[in-house]
Amino acid sequence: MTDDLVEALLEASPDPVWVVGRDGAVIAFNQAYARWTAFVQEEGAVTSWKDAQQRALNGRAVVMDAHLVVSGVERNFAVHAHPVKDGSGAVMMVREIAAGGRQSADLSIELALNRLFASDESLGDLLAGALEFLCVAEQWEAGILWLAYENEGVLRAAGSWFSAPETAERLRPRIAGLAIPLGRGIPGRAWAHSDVVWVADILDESTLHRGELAAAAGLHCVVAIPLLDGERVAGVLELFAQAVRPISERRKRVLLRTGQALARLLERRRAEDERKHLLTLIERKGHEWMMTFDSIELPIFLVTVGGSIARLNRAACGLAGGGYDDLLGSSILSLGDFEPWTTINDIVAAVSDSGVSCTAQISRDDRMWDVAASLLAGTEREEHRVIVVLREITEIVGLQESVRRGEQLAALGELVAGVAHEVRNPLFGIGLTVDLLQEHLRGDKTSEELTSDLRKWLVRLNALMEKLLEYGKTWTIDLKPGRLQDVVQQAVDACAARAADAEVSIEVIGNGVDRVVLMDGARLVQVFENLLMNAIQHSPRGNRVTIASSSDANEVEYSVRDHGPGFRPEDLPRVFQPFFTRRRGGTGLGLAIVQRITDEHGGIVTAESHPAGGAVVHVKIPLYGAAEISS
Amino acid sequence: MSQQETQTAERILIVDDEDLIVGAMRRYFQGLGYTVDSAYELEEAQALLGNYQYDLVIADLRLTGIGGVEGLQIVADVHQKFARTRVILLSAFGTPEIERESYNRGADAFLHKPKAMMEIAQVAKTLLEQ
Repeated sequence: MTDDLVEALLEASPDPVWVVGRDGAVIAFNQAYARWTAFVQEEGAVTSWKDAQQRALNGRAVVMDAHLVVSGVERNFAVHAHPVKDGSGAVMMVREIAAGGRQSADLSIELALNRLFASDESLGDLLAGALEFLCVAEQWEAGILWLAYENEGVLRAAGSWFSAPETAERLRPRIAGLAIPLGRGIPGRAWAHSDVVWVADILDESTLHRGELAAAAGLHCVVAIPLLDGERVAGVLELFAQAVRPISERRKRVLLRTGQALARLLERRRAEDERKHLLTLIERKGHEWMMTFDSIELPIFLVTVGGSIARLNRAACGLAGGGYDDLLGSSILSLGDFEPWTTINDIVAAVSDSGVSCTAQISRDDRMWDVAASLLAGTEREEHRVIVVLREITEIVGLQESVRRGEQLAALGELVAGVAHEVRNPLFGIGLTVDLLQEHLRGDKTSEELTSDLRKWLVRLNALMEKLLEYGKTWTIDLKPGRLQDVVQQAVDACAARAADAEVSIEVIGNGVDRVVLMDGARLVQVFENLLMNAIQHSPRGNRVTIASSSDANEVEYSVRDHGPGFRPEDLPRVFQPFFTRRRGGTGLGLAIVQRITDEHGGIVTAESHPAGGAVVHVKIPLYGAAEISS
Repeated sequence: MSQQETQTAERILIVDDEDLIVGAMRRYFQGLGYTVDSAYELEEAQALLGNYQYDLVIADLRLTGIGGVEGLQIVADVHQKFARTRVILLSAFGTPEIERESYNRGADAFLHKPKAMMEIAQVAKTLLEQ
């Protein structure tokens, strides 16, 4: 190449261009260079391009930023240095970068980041977009965004961008596996010092293993910018350039600001994601709570101090007889001017006024409720509420009464049996004395009649004692699976003689019910004997008594019917009470014993007058499983 | 012993804590021609059983307060000592279990109170004839 050609080439450039020899001395330059060096006297500026020049003389092409004050004005330059192949020197060029353009670019970066983060994209996509934008706008060839995991003390990559797709492919998997400890490497140092760390050429940082990594991709300059959110470092933005690029103080400040903007946006996004997550969580919890609330069988109302319904569960809707939406906001009194609403309304008022929890028992017709109300203190923004919980106790009260009655009967039974037993001995003594008296008075007709009467009274008294003992006996009931038809047949046989005496026939209808029940056969026979005896005693001569059976999946039922006068309607509630009788000479214990024994078998006995006349008593005994004994 | 051999009348021991019952039964059985001894307590009955060999013992099951079954003891004593002596137990509260137990110990009859004197006498007669 001729000197003329070299000179022409040099002069073709409007920017300062110069050629240095192996020793660094300028051996050729253009007019622009001559003009520019006249302006630039600052030592720092000379140093920065001297640095670039040295690198080129070492055989590497570099681009460096130079930030200079020229005649009191801040100006930015890019210094390009290119080695001459044979190592004989280097070609240098300087281009000024317009300061105004730079400033507006800084602003537009923030605006662009803001716009980016305003979208609904996932954080991963957002970071990838932001990285690409930052790298392209600022002419970086690659960027990695590290997030700080403070509890672990490491940085992990949240996203990366590379201008060359093949580099991305090669480096991404390695980056993804990295965890950089606090203080280690370039990003670790930026995190530790909360300040920008830059390395003009990673090849100089021989201690960094990542250096090789970057060098493999032709990357030289690295800058790590802490993402400062106040004092806290949220992460580190690491940018790479192929050019060797010095970073001025001003540039550092700009990069720090970008880092802060990014940290703010990240934080905002994180908070937003957190909020969304919490909202979902609250929604789910709310749903769970509603499901739980609804699944409670007790009616629950949340009532305002003014007495209107603020919330209620499904059971409460059922009690109030309306839909959730219709009932919400309506007043308790609007549900009805009767119980339980009137009392609930009073209780709500009382609890609202006093703040003290309160319970009450409410009854309406044959239903009863326990109600408990307590104050749910509201916050400043929320008014107080009263929680009202109802529990229907109709059945429980019924059971309690039944238990009480059972206990009373048991106590009475024991007493009666005790008395009956003690009476037996004196009765025996009287009987023996009457026997003796009869022997003594033999032959005297009147005396014989009188002792005979005495004996009849004794027989009756003895019968009563036997019944009382039967009723009051505390039995160890011995339940075994068995068939009722056998028991019924025994009872029919036992009553046959009495039936014949009374000229009454016993007709067994459908005693083919071959179902198994748990029973104490000896005791259960008494039930049917008593029922048949009653029926026989109330039957007109020549009539018939029927005992009919049927069964379903749960129980077997026997009905004993006579064709006598039937029960008087007013007597029906009392026929099972001990000592209640309308029959002269009756003890009034027959049906009481029937009820007692049926109870012991878990069964139910009911009495009624048949529409076609006569009395009917139904005995229902639960089936033992669904088993059947094959005959 | 020799005294007993000379008597033709059969000897009966009646044991019951109710003196009215003992009195009535003693009179009745004496009227029927039996020789009758009586006791009100277990120990008294045991003492008499040590002195005489009875043909028949009629004992109440309960000789003391609630829950007593002294009659069973009398049955066992008699059964052990005298093979020929018959025992009738009387009870106002006999459960099927006690009745079974009585027969196991050697009672010849178990009668539920109240019973007519005639019935008891009939059972006694049948047992003595065996």
